[in-house]
Amino acid sequence: MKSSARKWVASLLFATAILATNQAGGQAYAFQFDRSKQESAEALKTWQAGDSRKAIEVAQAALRDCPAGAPGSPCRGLLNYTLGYIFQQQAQKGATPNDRNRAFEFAQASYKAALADDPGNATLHYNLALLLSNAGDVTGATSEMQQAVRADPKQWQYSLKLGDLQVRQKNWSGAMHAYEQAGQATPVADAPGQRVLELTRHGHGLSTNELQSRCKEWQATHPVLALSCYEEVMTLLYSGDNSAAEVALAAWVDLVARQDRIDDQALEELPQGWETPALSPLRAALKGDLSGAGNNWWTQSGRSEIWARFLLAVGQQHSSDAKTRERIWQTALTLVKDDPRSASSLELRGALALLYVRYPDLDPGQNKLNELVERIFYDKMGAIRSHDLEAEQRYHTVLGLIFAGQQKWGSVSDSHSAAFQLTWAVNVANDRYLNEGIYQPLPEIKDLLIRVYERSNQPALASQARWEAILAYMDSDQLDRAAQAIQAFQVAEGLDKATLNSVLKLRREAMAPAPERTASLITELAALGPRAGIKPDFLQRQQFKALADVVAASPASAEKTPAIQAAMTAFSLAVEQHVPLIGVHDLSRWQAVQEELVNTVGGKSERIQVRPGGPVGSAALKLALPGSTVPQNVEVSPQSIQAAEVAQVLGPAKLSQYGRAMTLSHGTLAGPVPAVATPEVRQKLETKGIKVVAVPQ
Amino acid sequence: MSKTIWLSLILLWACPGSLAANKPQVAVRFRVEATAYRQHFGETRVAGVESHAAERVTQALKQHIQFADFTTAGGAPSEYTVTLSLAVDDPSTDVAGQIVWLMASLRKAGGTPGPRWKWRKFRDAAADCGGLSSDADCTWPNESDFLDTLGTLLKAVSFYPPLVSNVFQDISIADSGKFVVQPLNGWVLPFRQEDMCLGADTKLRIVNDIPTDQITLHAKFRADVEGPYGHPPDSVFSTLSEGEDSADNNKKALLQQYSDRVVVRGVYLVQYQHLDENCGSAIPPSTAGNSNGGGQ
Repeated sequence: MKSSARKWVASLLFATAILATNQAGGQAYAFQFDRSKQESAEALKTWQAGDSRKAIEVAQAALRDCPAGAPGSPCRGLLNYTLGYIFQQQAQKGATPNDRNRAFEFAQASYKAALADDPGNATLHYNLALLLSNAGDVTGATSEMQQAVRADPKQWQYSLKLGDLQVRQKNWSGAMHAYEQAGQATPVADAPGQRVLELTRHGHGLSTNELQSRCKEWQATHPVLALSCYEEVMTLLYSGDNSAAEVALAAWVDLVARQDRIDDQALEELPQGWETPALSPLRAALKGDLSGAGNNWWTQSGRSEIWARFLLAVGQQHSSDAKTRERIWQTALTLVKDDPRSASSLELRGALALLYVRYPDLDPGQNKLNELVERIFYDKMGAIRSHDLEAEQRYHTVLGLIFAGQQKWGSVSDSHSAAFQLTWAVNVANDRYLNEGIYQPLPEIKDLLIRVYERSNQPALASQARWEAILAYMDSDQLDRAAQAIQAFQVAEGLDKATLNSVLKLRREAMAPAPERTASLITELAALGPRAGIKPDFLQRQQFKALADVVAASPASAEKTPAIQAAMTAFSLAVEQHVPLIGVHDLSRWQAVQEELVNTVGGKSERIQVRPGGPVGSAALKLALPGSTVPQNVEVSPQSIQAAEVAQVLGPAKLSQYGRAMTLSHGTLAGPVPAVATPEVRQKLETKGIKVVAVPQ
Repeated sequence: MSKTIWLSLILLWACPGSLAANKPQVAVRFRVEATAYRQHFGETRVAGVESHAAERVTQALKQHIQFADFTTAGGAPSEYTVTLSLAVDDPSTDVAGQIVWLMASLRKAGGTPGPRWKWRKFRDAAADCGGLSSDADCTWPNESDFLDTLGTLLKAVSFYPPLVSNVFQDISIADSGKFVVQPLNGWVLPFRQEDMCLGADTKLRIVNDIPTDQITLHAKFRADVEGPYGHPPDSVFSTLSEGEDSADNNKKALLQQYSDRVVVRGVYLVQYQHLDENCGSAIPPSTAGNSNGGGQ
């Protein structure tokens, strides 16, 4: 039999099976054990091995054995899903249009049959939407994708795809809404922002003002996207509003320099034919021409700081030519050396000092190096006198790196040593944790301290530094590295290696917990207590990360009580106990926690707002980003706080039962009578400023 | 010619081969050139490191770029070979004080290698040396750490579009297509958007022959990926943007005048945007948990 004919027979068998299972009604089946998961796995394995026909037969046979009626619902749902998936692959890869159309029909029928048993399954809606989209039914695909988004709003890819479908229908506002929704669900991924930029580029997205503020917002958390954003602003504005375009250029140059993205083609993304005096100095510097570097648009317009940072990055590109580097950096330093607010002056001094360490020929008497170091010390005293901890930390770090370069390992009592300066960099960072609420794990510095103590033959301190580095890896989500370091760590007195290893294991488990393990995992996390070398604040940070990971990994279709419980505890850790956020992964975790609570009480998802600096506010969390000593504020919206309060009053079990029937909007909670109508609940919520409306069921 | 006949002709042209998207084959090589790394691994081990590194790069390219089929070099001959080199600007001095780069270059079978392009910074100058300048004072990674670092670097999604624009811009992803003037000036290209994973912000360079009454002209035009085309949408429509240069721009009118005679010779990527994380692939059922839903 030819393969296409065989497929036909298999397909007919399948069609019969679908009818049989749908019409089975109340017929009794002798099938005792639900083997649908094993059979589905077997069918997928067979399909992956290249035998689609047999794969379909396996799934169909198992489908026929599913119990009838409600008890067989999960079995039928899974096996029809499996069949739909296999047919969908055939629909994409079939050799002829007939083969593809036939497979498409069967895939569609299978998915619809699966949805009859499992209507809230987001992935089924998603797959069906893709299937319809590939067949050209954009309207049907859009409707299915909307259902996928509703069923599982945490999956930002669904919203992204929904936006793409809206674009195909030229529904620009619908597309924009979907892309923004995708962005809310993932504060980390760049793709939603890229789509927003594309729409804007085609004239259907953000207004110029909105675009400009979005660029600023993305600077801290999406630096690559921010670059594209500023490029778009310049393209839109350079011919009509040159000064606004120049402001965007300055921000762009600053970002490009900070990201070390300077190369010969760096300026190619800027509008061709833009006649601004800001561009020629950039072009000249990239070609190594510094003749106008001391007096140009950048120095005249008070943007010397950005210009100096740009030159610092240009110098980094000349890694094989030390003299050129020195010339570029000295030129840059001349521009900012007397500006007390300049951060780049310290970086330039540090870079030059290390250059002189590496290339002694440039500084035979070490006069230049000593002068730089003295000046850094002098400025550091100024920072200490003015209680500027952020600046002080940077000075200690740069001096530490210079002394490490000079192999002046020293001790913690010798200020002209790497040990002293790096230890103080960490100490000041810890002071900032106490004073400003920003926690920086600083794994690179702690790593370097290990080397410093090893080279200076101080084994006890080296061991302590190794321990601190492990904690820093865990704080900065480098779990593989932490695992390796724990394994290599020699047991030391006062440091509980076994407990740290268990915490690490819990962290890993929380990233993809088995559903039956979720509740006990939450209990184990809550039970963690301080041990030797493991302080309470470290444990709280690990608890927040692990609990938020549990929330993020919880499928939309799963029983919600554990995820709500985890979200409530993680929320409390962040907001009430001020556990700081570290890196974009924690930002993503925070979003998952906030969304879980807001969605659970029927609120509307919101975009996370991240802003640099500022005083500690009651409704802002502190976020530290790697490579930056400047804190970021993450705003906690009033709606999130109210959602957490509702969750606290009603409890996870009640929310899990009634949450879908609730709405929270503008401080008013509407919910079913059994959930919210008791005087106690009403009173507690109203005390917190939440108005309650009981809706009869 | 009526619009219906036009569409029918295009669909007849597009359908038979539309799904047989023969992607260009690209072999992947990895070369450890930076002397400090070569010496650290040792000449006997370095070939093994290069081979494992090539496998890592191949996996990453497969994940992030779908318009070509990537395989590690050494198998069947490929039309193209991409070489990733771990290298420094000045091979004659110590590696310690220099930035170590992952450089990329492309060679077409039978041709000479294209220019090397600095794709990613692999290591900062003097990193893991405590600021020292001599190779002997640095800590160099063992093979496992080296491959882990490489794997981590290759995860960044944002680094692949520049690789395409700077290195893979000479790979032709299709050698046929149909220029049309309705509904817009543009090309119907014989592959599905999902198969090549081309996002809407992808820009193409399409090389055409335009047989006029007197002479066949060659012209290159830029085109923007518009979206799926046809029912079912087995092709991609890309709209005409501009000529590659002013001479090509002047041929726009001829392109439209002789639209039914235009022969597409090659389709190249000027700017690549990945469609989305899984390129519109369906999610398989998960059989591990309680839920039927395929978790992502």
